[in-house]
Amino acid sequence: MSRDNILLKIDDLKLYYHTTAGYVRAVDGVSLNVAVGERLGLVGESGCGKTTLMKAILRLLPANCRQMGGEMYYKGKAISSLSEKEIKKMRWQEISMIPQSAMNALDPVYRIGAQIKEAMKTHQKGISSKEIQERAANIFELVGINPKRLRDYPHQFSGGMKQRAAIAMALVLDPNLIIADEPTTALDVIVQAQILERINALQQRYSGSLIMITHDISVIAQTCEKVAVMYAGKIMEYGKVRDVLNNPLHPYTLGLKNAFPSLLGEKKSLISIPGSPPDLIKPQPGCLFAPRCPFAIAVCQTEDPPAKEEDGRIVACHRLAEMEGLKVLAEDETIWERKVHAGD
Amino acid sequence: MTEKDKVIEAINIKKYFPVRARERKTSEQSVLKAVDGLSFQIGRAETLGLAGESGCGKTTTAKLLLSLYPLTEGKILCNGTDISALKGKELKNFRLQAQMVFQDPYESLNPRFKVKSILEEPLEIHRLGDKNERLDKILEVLEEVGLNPANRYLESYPHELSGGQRQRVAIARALILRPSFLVTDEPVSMLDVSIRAGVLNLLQRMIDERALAGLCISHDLSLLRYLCHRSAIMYLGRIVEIGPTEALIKKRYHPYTVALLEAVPHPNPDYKYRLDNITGEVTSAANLPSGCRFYNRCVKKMEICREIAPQPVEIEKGHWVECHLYNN
Amino acid sequence: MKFSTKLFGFIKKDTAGAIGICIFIFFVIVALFAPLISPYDPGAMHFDETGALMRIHPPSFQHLFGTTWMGRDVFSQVVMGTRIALFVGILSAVCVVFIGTNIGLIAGYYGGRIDNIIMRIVDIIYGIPFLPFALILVAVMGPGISNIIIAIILITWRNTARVIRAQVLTIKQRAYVEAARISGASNFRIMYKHIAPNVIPLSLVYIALSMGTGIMTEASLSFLGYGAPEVPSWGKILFECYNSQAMFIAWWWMIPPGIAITLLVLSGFLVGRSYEEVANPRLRER
Repeated sequence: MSRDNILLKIDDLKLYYHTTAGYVRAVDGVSLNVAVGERLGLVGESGCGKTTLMKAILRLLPANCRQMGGEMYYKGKAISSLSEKEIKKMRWQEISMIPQSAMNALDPVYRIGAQIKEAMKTHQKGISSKEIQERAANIFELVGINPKRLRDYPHQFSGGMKQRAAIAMALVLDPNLIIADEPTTALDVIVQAQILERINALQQRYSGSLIMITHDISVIAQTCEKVAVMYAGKIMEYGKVRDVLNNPLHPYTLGLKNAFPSLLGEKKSLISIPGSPPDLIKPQPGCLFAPRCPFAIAVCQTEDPPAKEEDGRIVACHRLAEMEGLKVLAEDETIWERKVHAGD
Repeated sequence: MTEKDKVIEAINIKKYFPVRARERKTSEQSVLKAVDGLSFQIGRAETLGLAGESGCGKTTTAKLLLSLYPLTEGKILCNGTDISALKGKELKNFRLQAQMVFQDPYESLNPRFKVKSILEEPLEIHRLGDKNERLDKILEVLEEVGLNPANRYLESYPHELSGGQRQRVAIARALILRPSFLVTDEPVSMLDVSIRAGVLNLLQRMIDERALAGLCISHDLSLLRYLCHRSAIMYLGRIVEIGPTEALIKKRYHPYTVALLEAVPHPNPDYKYRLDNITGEVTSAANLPSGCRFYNRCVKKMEICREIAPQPVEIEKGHWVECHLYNN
Repeated sequence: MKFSTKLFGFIKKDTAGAIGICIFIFFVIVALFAPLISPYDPGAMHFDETGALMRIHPPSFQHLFGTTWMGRDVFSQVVMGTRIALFVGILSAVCVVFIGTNIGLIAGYYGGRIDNIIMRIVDIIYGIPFLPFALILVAVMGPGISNIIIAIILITWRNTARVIRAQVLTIKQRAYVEAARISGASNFRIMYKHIAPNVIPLSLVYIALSMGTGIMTEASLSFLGYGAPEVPSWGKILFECYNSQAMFIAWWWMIPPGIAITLLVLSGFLVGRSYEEVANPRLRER
């Protein structure tokens, strides 16, 4: 990947929440690159820091969250150095967000069309109202809603249509980077597939970059090229979706796959990962996944595993070299069960 | 299934809700047919899955089976007794038989109660045992759901527990009365993927060990595959296909079943979901077409489908489909 | 969080609430030790060295707030009046909120026709002008503290009932309420073990707010001459002051009870308001 091809670069970013109990290390040393036109999936369980990371890109973090190290660069410019005015301009026009629940994104007292047009007017000065009308109608067709319904109020839309309207709003200014935060979590399967389809089609049409945040690896599998697996504020594994999901090299990814029910193929029994995510206020030394990992050895308890990169694949595990053998063991339910004592 | 093994049986159950005047589109239809003629039965140590999109009536069905709503029409038998018109003491006795695990363990446990009080309440209501016996029962059921050592959890409040632990407490509450019928409504959808399997396996073990009749509601068919022996697909208040889960997933007779299964995203990027098996948006149950309910979304619709509603046909043993495609 | 910390935690954050609590505690102490604090019997007439009645004497060391037309000690009357004010305020507030909370619980929980009937009654009561109603009631039933309290209760339960009902409507949708029903819990049990604990914080707000209404109503009725004849309440002090046409001459007779009423009502209002911020989820979210 050439240097000037990188749209967003996150470099050893540390984001800590300041609480009365101490610092919560929500994001702790994350490095990621998003190339122009690339679709990156960010997968992890609740509390792994994925939403904090994405909010940081748009500088939408609450006041008690501080950047304790590292930097994010958008088109080579450090995001923390931008003025409040610059960042406001950047949101929506350069980077836009598809929120988890469209109910919160749409104002119930204004017509949906008016809200989309408002966004265009504020961000693109001097645009004619005829052009606004045309583009709003266009974007509605693209997300699969009849442009006549631009005159509707949000409550007249079904859940899936609201989500599509939120996507339309996020895309109306042709952003270079779309961040989708669990865009389909609350939706039914068919509507979910329709939304993913729209996001895919639009992303290809506009050739913007996409970051998809979700806890659902199947959503990533269907929409992204690259995937980063996050756990306890750190990236455990990163690489091409096909490589990571079909051939995981980190015990956590292996565990996630084991726990994921599938409609296809032979019915295997589901294996959960024992234990629960670590305390991010006083993290234990060593690998943060070690207490839940069936393959943890002495070094895992004391040393933080370095991120090893090979062919664009990054894995943070001390036992990466032995992974082929461990992978076979990981399919055995009893290997994971031995660890069960902490409950979940 | 023999008569003796049948735990719960629904016979042509219907539930219509009145629609308020201003939401009504036409003057003639003033009811929402949330559940419109379902018949099925669940036996001992068997789990039936109920899948479908939101608004298809699956949650209403569960609530009818738990006698939380009165039926509009039909009959529900639990261990041979009709439960549709129970009142007072008899209804309370039925509550010993049928229990439920809710979707959201953050909502279903009273935040002001300690685990001990949450589990003690059902025993208290039904006046089972004295104080010591109740405590023994609570400890026993906590260990059974995998909360060891049970003592440690007695004095905890729900907010001090993780999502998985809370859902285990909710399961313990449902099991402590030793019911014969257990309803689970999306039991793991609020939990993190890595701990879902544990809760699912627990539910499965409990249903097997205690020979319960289970009903599992979920929009996620891959999950039903792991938990349910048989599954039913619902569309706008009707069961369009019911049969052994594996057969239903592999054979997919009804066009809606096909659409639903093909739309599921797979964790393997080599298998893509498909959307070409369905058109349009879901219609409202307050405004049903005269023929097949699925008519306007079906890609295999025929002339007959517009006029006449299809009747269920048994395609294989125990596998019923409600579609004109299979009518001869 | 422990209930007590939740109950009093707001004081740390909210100065207005803290001031309200201080004023309230001050009046409680005055009421408790009223016989010790008041130097004279409030009904006793005082005479000067010459044996003349001390009519409207201005404040002095012997009579801190001066004397009335009948030569009575204003300070003693105000101190003793604190007892009546607190008694009426607290008793009426507790009764009002107790009744209002229960009616709100029943209306909200059962819904349907019961709710409809109760809420229409509430609407009708909202249409009744408070003070004229209280006047007529006291006129018919005869003056007396208990009749005044009854009048207050009959009218002001409407506010609490309405707010509590709205709260119950949202709480009864919670899954744990349904879970309790499936466990076989009776309506009574669900209402009082599962729903009521969640509305009690709001009820406490209304106790604080209703206390002010109670004190104000008693003072108004007494001022208009419908107070209990034998009881030295603050309203009655004002009534006598007005009746002797001394309002513009003897400021010391009128101002102390006036300030006392204002302060006590204010304290209830301050405490209620700041506690509402804690108890009412809608306000807390802001």
